[in-house]
Amino acid sequence: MGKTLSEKILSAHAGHDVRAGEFAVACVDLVYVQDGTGPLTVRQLEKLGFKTVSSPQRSIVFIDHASPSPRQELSNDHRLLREFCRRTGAILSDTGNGISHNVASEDYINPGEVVVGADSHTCTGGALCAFATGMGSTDIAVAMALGHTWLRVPETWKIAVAGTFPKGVYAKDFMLHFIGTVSADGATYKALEFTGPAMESLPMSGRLTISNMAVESGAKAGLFNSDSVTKAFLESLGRPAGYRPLQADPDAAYEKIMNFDVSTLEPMVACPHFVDNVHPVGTVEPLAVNQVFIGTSTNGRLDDFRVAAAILKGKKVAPGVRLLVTPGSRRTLLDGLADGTIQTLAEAGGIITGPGCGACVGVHEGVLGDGEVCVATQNRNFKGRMGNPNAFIYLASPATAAATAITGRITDPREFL
Amino acid sequence: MLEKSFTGNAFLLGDHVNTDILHPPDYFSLKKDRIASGLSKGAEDFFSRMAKDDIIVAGRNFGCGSSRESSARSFAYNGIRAIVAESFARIFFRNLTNQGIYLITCPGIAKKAVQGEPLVIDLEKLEVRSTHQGWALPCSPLPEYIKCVLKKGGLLKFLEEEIKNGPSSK
Repeated sequence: MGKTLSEKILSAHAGHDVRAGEFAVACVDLVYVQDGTGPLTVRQLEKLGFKTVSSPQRSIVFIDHASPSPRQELSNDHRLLREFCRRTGAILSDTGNGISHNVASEDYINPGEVVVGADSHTCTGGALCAFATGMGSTDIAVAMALGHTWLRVPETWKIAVAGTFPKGVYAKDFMLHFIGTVSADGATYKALEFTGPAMESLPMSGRLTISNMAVESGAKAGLFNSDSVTKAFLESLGRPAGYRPLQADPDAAYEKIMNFDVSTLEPMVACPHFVDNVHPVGTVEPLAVNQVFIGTSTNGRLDDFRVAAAILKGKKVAPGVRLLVTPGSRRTLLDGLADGTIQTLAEAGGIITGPGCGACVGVHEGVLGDGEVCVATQNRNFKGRMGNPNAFIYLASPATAAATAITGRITDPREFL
Repeated sequence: MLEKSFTGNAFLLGDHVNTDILHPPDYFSLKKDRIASGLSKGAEDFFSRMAKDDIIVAGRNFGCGSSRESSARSFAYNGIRAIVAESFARIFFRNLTNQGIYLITCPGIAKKAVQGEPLVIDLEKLEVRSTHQGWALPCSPLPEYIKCVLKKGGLLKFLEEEIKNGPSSK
C-alpha cells in the first residue's frame, strides 16, 4: 500500500514507517515563532532549564505581528526575543523583514521537510511540499529544545481540481469556495493534498494562498506535490539545492477524495463573521466599504500586488475608502518597488505600509471602527479580527479588493478586466 | 493524578467560538494578570457571567483560529479544569491539553445540555450525564499520551520529569 505525502514525510522523520492514525515522534527541520507567541516560548524554554536550542540555524524568531510595536509592553517582548536570539544563535527576522510564513517559504522551507511554527498559518509551507503545521508556544518550545515533536499522523483528503481558472478568478476564490463547501471545521485534524491540472498549473504564489488557508477548514496541513513549479520557485530564490521531487504514491490510501472544477468558478467572498460564509461576489449586497486591505500571509506576494496594480493603474481609490497595501516580506516590497507595482498602488491612493502582518491581526495599524466594513485579502473574518468586534470583514482576492477600492462598494473584479 | 470526574452546572456556548472572541490579541502578554483578564473579552464577556464551578459546554469547532497560547492560559489562570464540546479546533485542543485542562469531546452534547443544569463528566465510564434529566452521552476516550500529560498537570510538568529521568523517547 502506497503512502500519502504526510505519511511519506512523517515516516522519514520518525525513522520508521508510520500510517494515518498512528502517533509519531518526528524530528523537525525548521521551527519558528512570532512576536505574539515567541515570548512565551522563550519563557517555557527557561522554565525547562534549556540554555540552548537544538538547531539554532533552523530556529527562527519573527517579529511580524505587532511590528513596529505600538506599545511599551510589546516593545519589551521584542527586546526579550532579540536577546534570546543573541544568546542562543537562533535566527532573528526583525521588524520590517516580513511575515513569518512568507519569509519562511522564500528563504528556508524545502520539499520533504517537517516544519512547526507557533502560528496557526504555519500550514502555508505545505505549498512547498513540506509537512508544516501550527502549534502553541509550549509545544514549539519543546520542539526547539529537543529537535523533535509528537504528532498524530493525519488521515488525508485528496482534493482533485480540474479545469482552468477563468479570467478574474484566482487561487483565493477556489480556496474560499472549498472552505464554503467543507465548512470551517469539516476537515479538522486532516491533511489535505491539492492535486489535478488546476492545482498543478498554479504558480507558487497561488499554492501558498491555498495552503495558508487549509487551517480555515480545520485541517492540520495542506500539501502540494513537489514538481517543476516548486523547482522553478526555489531556483528563482537562489536555493536550487533544496529541491527534490516528491509526490504521493498513486495507490496511497485517502480517507476521502473530493473533485472540483474551477472552469465555472466565480470570484467569491467570505461574508462576516465566518470564513465558510462564502458567496459569489455578484450575489452579495454591494455594501459601501471603509477600508480595503491587500497583503498578509494569504495574499501579500508580488503576484497578488501585480493583480491589484493592473486593476488600479491610472485609477483612484474611491473617496472615503482607505486602501492599505502591506507587502508580505521585504523581498516583496523591493521587487514591487523595482517593477513599479508599488508605485502604481501608491499613485492610485494606496497607503503603503512596512512589510509584516499589518492590519490583519488588529494589534496595531489599520484597526477598524465600530460598524465599519472592510474587504481584506487575509484568511480570517472572525468577529473581533482586525481589532474590533463591531466591524464587518469580507474576505476576497486581491482583484476583488482592488475593484472594491475603486468603486467604494463590494465589486466583482471582472468589471475591470 | 488523573481526574476521574468533574461536576458542575452547564454553561452553554455556541458553534465556532474563535480565539479572537475567547482571548483577543490585545491581551498578548507574558503577565499572568493581563492574560487572565482577557478571557472572553473579544465580544460579549461570557466569563463574567460564569459561576465558579460552571462547566463550559461548547458546540462545534470550539477555539478555532489563532495558535496563541495566551488563550489557553487564560482558561488555566481562571481555574477552568474541564470543557465539554461537540468538537475542538486542533491547535486549541493541543494548547489546552498542554495546560493540563481536560477537553472532552462529546458529540450531541450541545443539543442535550441545558443552561445552568448540573452535569457530570465521568472519565471512567466515558460519558457525560445529567442525573437531573436522566440522560447520558458517550464521550471520546483520551489518547494515552494525553492522559500522561494530564496526569502530570500539563506538558511542562510532564517534560520536566522526562528530562530529569534522562533523554526522552527519541
